[in-house]
Amino acid sequence: MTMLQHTPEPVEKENAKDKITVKIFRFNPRTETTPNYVTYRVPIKKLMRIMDIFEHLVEVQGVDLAYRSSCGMMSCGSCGILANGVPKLACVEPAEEGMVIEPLANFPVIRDLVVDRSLYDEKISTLLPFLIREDSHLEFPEFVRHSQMKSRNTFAQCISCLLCMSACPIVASDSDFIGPAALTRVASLVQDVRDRGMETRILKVSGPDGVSRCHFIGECSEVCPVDAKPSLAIQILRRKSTRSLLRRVLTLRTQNYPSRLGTS
Amino acid sequence: MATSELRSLLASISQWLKFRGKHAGYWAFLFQRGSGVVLVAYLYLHLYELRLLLVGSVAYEGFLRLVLSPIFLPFDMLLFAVGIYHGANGLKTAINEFGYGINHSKSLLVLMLIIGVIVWAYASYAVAEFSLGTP
Repeated sequence: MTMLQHTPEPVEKENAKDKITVKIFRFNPRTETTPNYVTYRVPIKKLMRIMDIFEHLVEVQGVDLAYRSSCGMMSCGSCGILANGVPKLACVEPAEEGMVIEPLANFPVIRDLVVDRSLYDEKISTLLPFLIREDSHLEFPEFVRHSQMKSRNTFAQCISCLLCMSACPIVASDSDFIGPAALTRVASLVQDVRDRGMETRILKVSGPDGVSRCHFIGECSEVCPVDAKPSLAIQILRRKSTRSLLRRVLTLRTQNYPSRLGTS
Repeated sequence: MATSELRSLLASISQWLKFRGKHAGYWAFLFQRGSGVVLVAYLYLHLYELRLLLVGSVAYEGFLRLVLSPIFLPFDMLLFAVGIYHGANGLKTAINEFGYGINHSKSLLVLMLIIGVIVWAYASYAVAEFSLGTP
């Protein structure tokens, strides 16, 4: 019987140059009153992402850091953070020396880098985020031309990562504003040829906290990781909202139009 | 204004003052708000100036002589800059909001700023000529 000889892997000597220092926002609102920034040193690897820093800290160093992660490939939109003040996805953003990592701005912090997404979830749930159809489609796959769906496809790229909500100065100063993420979702449905709910949706986003609240600053489009163009989506909705209002004024059907006076 | 409203207003303003990683559109928005505040302040100054008409022509003309003096020339130039910027960026935003040039927002902003600088230079020259007198 041959004994298998286990050769231990050579232990790499730790070199100061092989490590980077990052500063991470730590806060547990249940037990602490103010957040603090903790500095960590992690070994740097080739093509290292911010997510790798989190995984190293939790799995190797045993740090009880709270963060969100799921697909790791820019599809689920759950790992949004602020890297040096800029909203980014931790799963694709490269790790750098001296980086400051914080939770997304404009959302309440649940713990460390995990924010409460209900601000978005509550808004999107009121905006009918599904196709409204007159009848069930007859065949599968449904026959839809690419040219018919082209304008919708840009907005349908949105992965609801909420980086746009974090970057928007209007969301920062007015949490009632529906916000670019939910409006992009609405735009993707409004531009969908199969959908029959445009009038209802436009009415919902035409209120004082809807499309008119946007000042076309464009930060949402700048930080969007999938180039879903939220600012373009809002302007398209705004145009449709204006046309809808004009139609209602011309046909004297303004009683259901949302206004600052309280009608809804 | 209630304390809670004041606190909310200050919290909003403090959110706008987080500058890290911001892009051109954000700065344009911030200057738009800032220039708006300056123009409102100037409006009150203008109303104060008009109120002097009720006091009498001596008071009014005295005030006019003061503000037309060369000391006030930089303030006039600053006022032109603020007003022209507010107008130019407002026009750009209005064009965007009508659905034109949405994908070229930054280029439109640069174009508006170039036009704004030309108009400001001409306006400043004109007021300097008026204030300092023709050589």
